[in-house]
Amino acid sequence: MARSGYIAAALALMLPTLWLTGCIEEISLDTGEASRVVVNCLLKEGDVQTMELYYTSEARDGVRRPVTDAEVILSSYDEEVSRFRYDSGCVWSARFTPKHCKLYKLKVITGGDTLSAQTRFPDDVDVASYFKGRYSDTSHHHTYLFVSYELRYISDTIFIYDWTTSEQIDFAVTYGKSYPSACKMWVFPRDLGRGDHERYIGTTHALADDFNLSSLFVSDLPCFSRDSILAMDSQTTRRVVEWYPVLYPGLQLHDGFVRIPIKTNYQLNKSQKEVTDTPLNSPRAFVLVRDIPTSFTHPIHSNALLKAELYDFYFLSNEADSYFKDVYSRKINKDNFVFEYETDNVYSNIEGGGLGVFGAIIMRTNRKAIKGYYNDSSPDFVYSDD
Amino acid sequence: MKKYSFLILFAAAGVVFTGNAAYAQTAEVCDTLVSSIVTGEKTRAREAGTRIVKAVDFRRMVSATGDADIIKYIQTLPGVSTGGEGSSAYYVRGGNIGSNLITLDGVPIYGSSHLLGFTSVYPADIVSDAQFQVGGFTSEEGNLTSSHIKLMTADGDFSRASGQVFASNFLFGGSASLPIVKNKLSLSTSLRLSPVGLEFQALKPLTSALDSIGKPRAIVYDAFAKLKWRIDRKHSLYLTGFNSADIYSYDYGNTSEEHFQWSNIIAKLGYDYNADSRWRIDAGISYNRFANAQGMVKKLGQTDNDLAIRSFIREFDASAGANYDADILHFQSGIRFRHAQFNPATSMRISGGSIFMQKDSPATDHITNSSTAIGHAQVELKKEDRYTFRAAGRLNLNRTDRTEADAVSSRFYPEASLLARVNVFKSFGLEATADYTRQLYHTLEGIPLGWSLDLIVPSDEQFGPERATQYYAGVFANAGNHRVSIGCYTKKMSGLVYFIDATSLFSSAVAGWRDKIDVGTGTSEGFEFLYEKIGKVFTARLAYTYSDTDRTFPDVNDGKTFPAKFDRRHILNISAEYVLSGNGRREWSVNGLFTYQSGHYETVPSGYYTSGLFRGDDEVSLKYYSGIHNFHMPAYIRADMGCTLRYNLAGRHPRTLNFGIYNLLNRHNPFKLTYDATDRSWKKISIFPIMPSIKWTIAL
Repeated sequence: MARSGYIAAALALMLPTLWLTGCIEEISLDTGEASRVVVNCLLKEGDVQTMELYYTSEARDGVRRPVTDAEVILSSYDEEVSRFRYDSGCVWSARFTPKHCKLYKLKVITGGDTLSAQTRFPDDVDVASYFKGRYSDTSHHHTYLFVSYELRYISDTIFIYDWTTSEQIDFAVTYGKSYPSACKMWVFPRDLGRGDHERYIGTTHALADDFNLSSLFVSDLPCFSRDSILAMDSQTTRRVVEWYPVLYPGLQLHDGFVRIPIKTNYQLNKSQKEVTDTPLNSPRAFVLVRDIPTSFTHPIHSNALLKAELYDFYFLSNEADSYFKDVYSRKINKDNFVFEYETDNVYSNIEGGGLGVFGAIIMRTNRKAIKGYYNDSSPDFVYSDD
Repeated sequence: MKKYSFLILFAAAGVVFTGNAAYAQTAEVCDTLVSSIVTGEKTRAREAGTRIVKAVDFRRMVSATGDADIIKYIQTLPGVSTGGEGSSAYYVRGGNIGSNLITLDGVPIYGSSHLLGFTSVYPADIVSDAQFQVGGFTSEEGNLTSSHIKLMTADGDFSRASGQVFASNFLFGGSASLPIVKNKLSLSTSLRLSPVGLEFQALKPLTSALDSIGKPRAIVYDAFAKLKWRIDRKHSLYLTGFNSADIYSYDYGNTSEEHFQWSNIIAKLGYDYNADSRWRIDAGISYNRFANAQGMVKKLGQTDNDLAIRSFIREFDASAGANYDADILHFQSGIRFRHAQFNPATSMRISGGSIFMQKDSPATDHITNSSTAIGHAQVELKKEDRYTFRAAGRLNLNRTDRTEADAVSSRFYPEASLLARVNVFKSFGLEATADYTRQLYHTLEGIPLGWSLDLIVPSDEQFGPERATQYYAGVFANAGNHRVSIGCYTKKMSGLVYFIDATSLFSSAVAGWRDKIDVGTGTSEGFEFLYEKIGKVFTARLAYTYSDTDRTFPDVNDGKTFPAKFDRRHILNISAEYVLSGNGRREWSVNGLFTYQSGHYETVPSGYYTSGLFRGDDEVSLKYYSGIHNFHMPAYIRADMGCTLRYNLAGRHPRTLNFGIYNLLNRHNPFKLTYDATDRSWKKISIFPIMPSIKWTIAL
């Protein structure tokens, strides 16, 4: 048989094998486990508290089977403060206003099982925002202004005068003692209707969690492009905006939010002299960056940027923080095929065999403050946990 | 799901073009072993813990890709458990995949597989000798806790030129062996390339299931060259070079372009001095670089946003050793210095769009320098077919310098191995090994495919080396062409690493791998049985393993012990070859393999629930797991069959025609589990159905 004949025979044999590989078949996965009770309860500021109570399902996207018959007791320091009543669906509610820094315990008694969990309601922290910058001459060339953020206790409100016009402004300014305790802060950029880019947020805070880092950098945000900056209608606004890409071009952005677990006494006891002019060197302040509006209706554009509510700040109890970090991780990775191999359970502080979370959360927006530290000292009460 | 879809596309391309038409011109058609001792029907007595892997054995095996692969052969030996179906992952006596060492002429290969783990990067044709060591390690073997596949490459032919070219469903290429200066300087080379990129593009229009995957591209190759210089009767020099690369990319919808790749570069200069029949000295210096990377170009508006995660290992190694062989006394000693630089999971920008990811400026760097000075020695008393006693020891002095943390650690690690084999009677004996081994490199395994995207990191001040203590005892017997060995082993491991967050392996969050590791222990015990019958007409082998392997990590499974993922309780492999007829001019033979392996373990959800987010209306679907590895998969069963026709044996150009059928039973062995949201049911995915292959070889 000629050589070419052998090759032809080989090719002929290949033709019948032109079928697709791979086979997908249903398989029954039954570990024989009984359903578990899921408790989802976040205490909030306000006088009505709600929670979800239901059973796990055997199938993903299965219908929730609510727990309708249970005894749910909320207590604080061994004293009952309220009880949850069944509303409808999987929702239970209770009339109660939590107090800051207090410990609360939840007990759920259902079907012979007793589940319990405890959490501490976050401290009444606030978020102060102020300028940090440098002026080199009165013409305001070679200057920059940043909006920096700090955590503070709010103690007082005063009025200030507009530095450009010397006119008194109806402008609420707050200041207070710096916040020394540990807390779990989540910062979300507000939806200002500017499109896809506004969901990205960056920060200089050294403790920022990188679990939701994106592939974008500050220099990628359209508001910081050269054309965008040149098109700004105010030198003041430009001075505030254009320095972000100059000083932080390689700052990687987070997708959707940034989680910052702040430690107790984080760089506390820095004196006024130790506070430098740049947020990079500030012991307590941090910069936040997002796709920002570059024109404002307020006549004083830089102050408008300072005052603008660009972010929402959430402070979570430790339990809620651990839980939602796991939940958001799964949300972020759900299209990642390696996610199929993720077999860790989501954090839960529900003892007694339950799932879910009993935690607490408060929300804040930034309020303008003046630079400096008045009456800087530790408050009497500090609870420390990381 | 997109990377997994890419995997199916790969395997599909391989099957569509099944057919292994090799147009070969070579002087050798089967066994090219140089160092194996096969005279007549007598087989070389193997040492305890050692399997001599003959080229004819693993080249004969039917494989899914149509290409001979030594790993596929090793996966049929006692004490070896396999990973995912069709993959190159193998687990020896309860160890992890990273506990195994593969060396090519003494240089480690860290990225040892092509095609996402389905075949090896080194062509079988360049291997002259292979040993698979699972216990009783020699003194020069180190940085492992499970096994060592020792591959020695063939020298080029010093007297005449020969070569071959071949083509198969997955690879095509050629090799050449020729004298540069007759009887003085020889060259052997090999090059393989893969047309799989073209196959992808041909296959994709045939199925709508892969519509979301666009522009699949692949560059896969390996290249080898070896120069050998016989200076004189006693002195020789050799220079070996090896390079392999796997580069894949695809578009996902209209939103992103994804890349992943890995590559090896190995170079070694070696020197041998055979002073006389007793003394031999060898020395060598080598360079070894393994790198892997993954990247994404994501479109956001009009902007291309690029990010890549790269990891590499660079090793410089210098060694020298001396061997003394007297009648029954054998002595071996040596020194080695190895400097390795690691940079795991560094993130950086890439010049977007190109399949070749370009290094731009690193955003983060995680360089760690690890230097190890090793002194080793062994003494062996050996009388062929009577007894062998060996004691081997290694002293390792390791220094690790982690630049980003300014952390330096120095440690001293001793290792030791003992081996004893005694013929109580002429054809019956006892054998035992004991090993205390250390491993300085950790492999953070994302998916158990044996592919090369796992993260390899050095032990340092935070994560110490892995340690293993293993004992084996057994009996062996020979009767003519029949050989049996039966034994038991026990193994305790510590310093094992568990990569908690496998999902981060494919994101920039992998840079924080240090926070995702738990360190724990493992145990494994087992029974191994091996029967071999080697004859001119009929050859058979039966290997059976019973084993029980578990793991314990403080922060995994609530600290409770759980079974290792590939803890296959029973593993049975039966292979045979029968020569149907042979008359000096033509020879027919058939061969077959049957394997039965207990199913591996998977971790499957015991229940589902949902959670709202504290901001927005989204709900996230969550799973609850009652424990790690809480589900036992169905058994893995497969039968392969091959037929070989060798003809024109008396002529100038002997030819060989191989037919093979992989997975003759067409059993749908599970590759992975996945959840189908449309049907709301769990599905088992199988990659390899019944697959025929054909190969034609001609010798020149």
